[in-house]
Amino acid sequence: MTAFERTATGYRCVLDEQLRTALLTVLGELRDELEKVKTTPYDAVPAHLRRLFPAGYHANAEQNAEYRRLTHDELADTHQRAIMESIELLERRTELSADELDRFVRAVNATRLVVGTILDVSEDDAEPAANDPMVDLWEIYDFLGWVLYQGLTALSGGPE
Amino acid sequence: MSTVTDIERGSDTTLDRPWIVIVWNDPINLMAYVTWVFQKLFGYSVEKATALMLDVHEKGRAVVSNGTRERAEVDVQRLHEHGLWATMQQEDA
Repeated sequence: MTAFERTATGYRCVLDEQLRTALLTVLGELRDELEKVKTTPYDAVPAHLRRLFPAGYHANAEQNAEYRRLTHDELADTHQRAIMESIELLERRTELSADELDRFVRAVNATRLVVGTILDVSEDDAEPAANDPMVDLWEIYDFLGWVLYQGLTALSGGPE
Repeated sequence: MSTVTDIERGSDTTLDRPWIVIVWNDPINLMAYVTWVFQKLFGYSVEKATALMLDVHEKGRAVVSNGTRERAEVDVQRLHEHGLWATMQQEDA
């Protein structure tokens, strides 16, 4: 199974209806959450979204506060625009240009970062147990990883 | 002590030291994604981008660019737009 095919002019999304709907749901949730924190000071941003707003300086709280003051709104806007454009693409058409697939990949990665943060993913994670209360979220995380890898493969000139 | 003129001429050793951009390991970003971002943002070959990605993964960090503070700020912001955990600092003397 693949998610993207190369065409003469770009790429085609070949996700089936069920997978497109699943992707639209998680992208839509992040779009809405980002809207709420667009102009929110970093300290008031919910913990699971903070991964999208990293520190700019290593171990320098004062410089980081200034960096975040200067970049937070623009970074939130960049993430949100990539997500909104990806939602529009999934809803309206299947053909994508290279730039659109690029932004789609970034949107999926941002969403996966947030889901991974909620799951507290670590290097040592094994498969979640069937009775893990977060098992559904783990499935979404794995799905986003698969879509992301598919997008990267297409952009890298992988299988047609 | 440095005079204003000295600093303007760049004779202050602190000002002379270049800034470096470091990407730190995180358990979520896919290795293929990190490699792709390095290629895209810095124009690195797949070999160089892969070597840097492996440094990030195995050593915990890699210096991915260096230059002026302004250049470092731009690079860090672009890396953040792509979801990578990047910071900037002045290179050790």
